[in-house]
Amino acid sequence: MISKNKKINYGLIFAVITMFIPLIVKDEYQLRIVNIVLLYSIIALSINLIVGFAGQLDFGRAAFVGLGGYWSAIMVVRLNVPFIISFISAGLFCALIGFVLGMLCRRSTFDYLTLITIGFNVICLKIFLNWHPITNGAMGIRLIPSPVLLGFKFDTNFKFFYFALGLLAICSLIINRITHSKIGRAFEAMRDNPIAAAYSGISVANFKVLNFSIASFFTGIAGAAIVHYNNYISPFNYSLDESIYQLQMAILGGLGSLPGSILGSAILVIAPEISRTFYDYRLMFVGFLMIAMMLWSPNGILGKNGIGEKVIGIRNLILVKKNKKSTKKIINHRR
Amino acid sequence: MNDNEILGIIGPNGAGKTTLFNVLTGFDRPTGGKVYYYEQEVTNKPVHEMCKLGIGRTFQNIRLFGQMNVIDNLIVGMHTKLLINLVEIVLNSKSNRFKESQAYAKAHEILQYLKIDDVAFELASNLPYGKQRKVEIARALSSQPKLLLLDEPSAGMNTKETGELMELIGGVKDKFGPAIVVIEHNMQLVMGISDRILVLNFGEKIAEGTPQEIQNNKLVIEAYLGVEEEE
Repeated sequence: MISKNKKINYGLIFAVITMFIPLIVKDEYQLRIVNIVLLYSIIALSINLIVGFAGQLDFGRAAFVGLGGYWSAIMVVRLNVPFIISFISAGLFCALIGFVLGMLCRRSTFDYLTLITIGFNVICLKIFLNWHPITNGAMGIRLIPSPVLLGFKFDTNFKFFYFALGLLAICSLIINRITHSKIGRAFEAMRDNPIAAAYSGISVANFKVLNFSIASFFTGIAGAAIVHYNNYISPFNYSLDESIYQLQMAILGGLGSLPGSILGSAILVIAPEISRTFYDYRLMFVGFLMIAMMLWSPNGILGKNGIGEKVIGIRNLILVKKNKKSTKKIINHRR
Repeated sequence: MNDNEILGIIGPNGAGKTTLFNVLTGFDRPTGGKVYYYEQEVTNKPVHEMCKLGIGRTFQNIRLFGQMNVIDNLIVGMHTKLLINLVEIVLNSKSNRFKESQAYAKAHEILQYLKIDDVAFELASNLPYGKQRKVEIARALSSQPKLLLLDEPSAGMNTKETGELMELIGGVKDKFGPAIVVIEHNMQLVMGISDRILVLNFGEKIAEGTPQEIQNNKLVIEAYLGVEEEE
């Protein structure tokens, strides 16, 4: 309910503040975790696009993270393609795969789509593991070069931070624009009521495919970035467990809320790193967290009617009243 | 069906009124026969294309986009009229912003006309029943339909609200100019607003005519009250 101009300012302020993080966090290990949070935020955003906006349940995002990662790694290491091309094409390749998968299950309803994504994840994992000549099997691919843009190499944690931050800023800006456009509204409409959406002229099946493709693009980009950051790719990072973990980031942060996805991934990436012993129990921790969330705030922290909205509800109420006063403000509401 | 007229459809429960709407809009497929719309055959067209041709519809059990603002519900209704592509959206081009602001202005105009602009930013699912009905009509109107199908718009309304609704439907026809088909059980409403009435029973048309003709039609009375048994 906050007018567009103010929203941009909040985002800018937030981005400027985060830019100083590497100056405060000197510890390499901590900075590394911050970088991972930024990259996982993009994955959580893409999941939010599918689960939060289009109302489909996707249990196989890790497969697309892996596809993007492997594509970019293989392009750079085996074919010596420049980073920027392999990086962008990883996103396009994932969008293509997402499009094909979406076309295949064009007519399948909610439950079956979920099962298909689980199946797809398992298939991809097996391909990563067993297609030795291309993916190098369980050994993974080593010595993947760090990102290079215009001759500048993002090879340290400090430098990579700005690459990741820039990437997240661009991705969230684009996703924000899409969700606030005709396309985003069509996604929300078919989530809330597919029949009424069809009567409003929305081709539900086509928009599901579009949604899946767009989300896959961003997942692929994030997957490629992670691989170039770690300089290493291992098939075991793309299991079903990982998919569920990523899904929980989006749900915990709040479905339908873009800042929520960033918050959710921050919580779920940072929490297990508190101690190594704790890391082994991370899924248990997440399990407890999810049960607590479902009981007290089913829409996540920053989702509709979530904890966050209750806290800032009073301020929003005042803003809404102001908005009601004039038509002009209503027009400016979104744009 | 003539331009700019209100056609009432009545009939006992299970007579096939809603099914008629579903077939007209391509939601259900007819087992026989063809549907024509402005001399163009539209049988078996998918639902979302019928909207492009200018058919808007409301539902017997309200179908709103519950988690969206009222005004966004209307903008979704304008989906087919809002021609923006993905590139324009990502670049947030000038024409994109212009079209969006125009859409919001138009949606607000419709809301103002239906006197529900005060709830423009409420979530649709939080509204009282009567207002949800109005939002549904507003959403159907926002796609600038040439033919508006209303499925029991007065269901669950009291007499006062029904009276308001009658005025509203008449006003909508004059201001926005669609031909309107109303399915209704409320006789006061149907007789009050319809130019013509069609009576269905068991999927067949049993009568057609002006409200006065229908009120005196023997077949219609039989369908509603049963046949008097002769002893």
